[in-house]
Amino acid sequence: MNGNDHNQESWLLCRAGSHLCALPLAQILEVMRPLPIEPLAEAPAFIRGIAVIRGAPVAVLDLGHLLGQTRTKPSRFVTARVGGRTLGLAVTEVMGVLREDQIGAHAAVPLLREAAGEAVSTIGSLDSEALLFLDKLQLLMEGVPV
Amino acid sequence: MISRWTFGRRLAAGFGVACAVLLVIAGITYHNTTNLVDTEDWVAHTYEVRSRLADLTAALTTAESGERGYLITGNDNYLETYRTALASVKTAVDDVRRLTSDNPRQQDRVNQLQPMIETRLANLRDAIDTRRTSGADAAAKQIQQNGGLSSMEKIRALIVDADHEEGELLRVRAVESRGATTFTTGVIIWGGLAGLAAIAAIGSLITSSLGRQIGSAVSHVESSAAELQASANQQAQSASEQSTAMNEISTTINELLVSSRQIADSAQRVAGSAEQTAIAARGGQGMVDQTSDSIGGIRRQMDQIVTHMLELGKKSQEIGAVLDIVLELAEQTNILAINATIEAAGAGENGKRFAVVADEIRKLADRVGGSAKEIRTLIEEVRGAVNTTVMATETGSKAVDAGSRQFLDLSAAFRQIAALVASTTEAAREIGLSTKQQTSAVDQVNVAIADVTQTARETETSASETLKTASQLSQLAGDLLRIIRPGTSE
Repeated sequence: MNGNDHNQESWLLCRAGSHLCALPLAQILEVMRPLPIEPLAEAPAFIRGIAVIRGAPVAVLDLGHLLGQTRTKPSRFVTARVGGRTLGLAVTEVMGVLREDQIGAHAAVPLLREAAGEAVSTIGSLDSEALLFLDKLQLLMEGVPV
Repeated sequence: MISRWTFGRRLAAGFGVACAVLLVIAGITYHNTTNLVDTEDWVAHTYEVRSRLADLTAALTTAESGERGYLITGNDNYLETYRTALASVKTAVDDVRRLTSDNPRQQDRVNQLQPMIETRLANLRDAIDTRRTSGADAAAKQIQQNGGLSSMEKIRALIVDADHEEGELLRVRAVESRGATTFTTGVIIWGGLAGLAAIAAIGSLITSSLGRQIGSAVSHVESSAAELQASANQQAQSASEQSTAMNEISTTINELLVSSRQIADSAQRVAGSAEQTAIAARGGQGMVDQTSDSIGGIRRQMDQIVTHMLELGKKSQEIGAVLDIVLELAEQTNILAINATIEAAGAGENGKRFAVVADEIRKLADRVGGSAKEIRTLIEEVRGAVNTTVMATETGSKAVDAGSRQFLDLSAAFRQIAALVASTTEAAREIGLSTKQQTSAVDQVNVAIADVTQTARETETSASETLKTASQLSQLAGDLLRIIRPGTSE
């Protein structure tokens, strides 16, 4: 799975806070239960800290907080391969996998994209609920300490 | 003090004083008369002594005459005279000695006189003997030698002295007799006058005192008679009013009698009702006991329900634990299915079919998780219902306990009601009996009131009689006052 553009076929549907998000399935490594996190003192607020996943330290981001939500207790960790590094995303719920044809018409709304941040490439809808497509996960790595 | 004496005492005192005066006079008179009699006795005694002295002198003279006659004549008849005179001499000497035994001087004279007489009589006898034996000359010669004349003179002198002594005593006793007679006469006269005066004074005093007191008493009697008249009038009026009141009371008592009989009937009905109530209370007691047993059964059923509910809660907890495992498995399956989907997506076309299977597995796991959650919800609802049921059952159990206690209280209340009803029955019977007794008593009271009414009428009649008597008493008091105070007018 190496598709980084918008023509990916499958997305991992999850909920971060109250937002419904779609992560590119090609970059997803694993879904797991939350693991213990070591907070980082001077890291940005959306970074929860470092968790040891499969024997390696992985930075864990709070996706909901990243999207402007208040911090909530995560129920799942989602690990993704971004630029040769593993990134942990703390989400509220993993709801399943969506294929391209299962998603309603989605078009880029620049204004909303600016408001949602650079990581959100597209905003669609699913069952009358807004769906944020986060296909540029590498942008999330910019605030993550090495 | 005398003013407080009764009439009888005053009269007794007055007559006592009069009697005392008379007794004093009589005593003095008696004493003087006795003395006078004694004096007269002594006078007679003196006369007797003087007579015996005269007899002695005469006997001596007779003896000497007889002796001389015999000496002169030699006739034995003179000796007889001589001998008779000798006996008289002896008798006279003894009489004089006996009669003068209280007078020592006369006794001395008798003592001197007796030997002289004996000597003289011995000389006479010697002369007679000489005349008989020796003749008249020898006897005359002997007479001259014996000095018969002087001894006879001495004897006569002593007898004369004794007679003089008695004469002196006679004079003294005559004086005493006259004095006693005079004194007795004075006492009789003056004492009698004094006694009459004392009796007159006492009589006047008693008459005056009794007159005053009887007058005062009669005045009081008149006043009392007037008050008695007023009282009798009032008594008659009161008796009349009392008779009227008694009639009214009798009427009221008759009404009370009717009421008492009605009360007795009511009390009998109350007793009957109380007995029926007692029977009903005993029936209620039985029902309460049965209900109490039923409540005990309900209590046991409630306990069993609580036990079963607690068991159900425990089973629900066990189901919850199983559901936790199922949820855990479903969640784990969900994660594994998602990860399998991710892996299938990475496998490209080859993994599409696996992805479909994995997605179905994920959906199945989601459905299992959802169902498990629903079951958990249901289980929680069941547990809540069980808890609610347990609480409700415990509340019901407490209510049953409270109800049981209330039934115990109710049972006790029923027993108390039964006891009270029994007491009420007894009280009603006693009331009935008491009312009957009261009715009997009221009858007796009625009879007594009739008697009192009759007595009131008799009292009225008696008051009239009293009024009449008071009038007569007042009239009698006036008569008595006129008797003791003749000048008093009506």
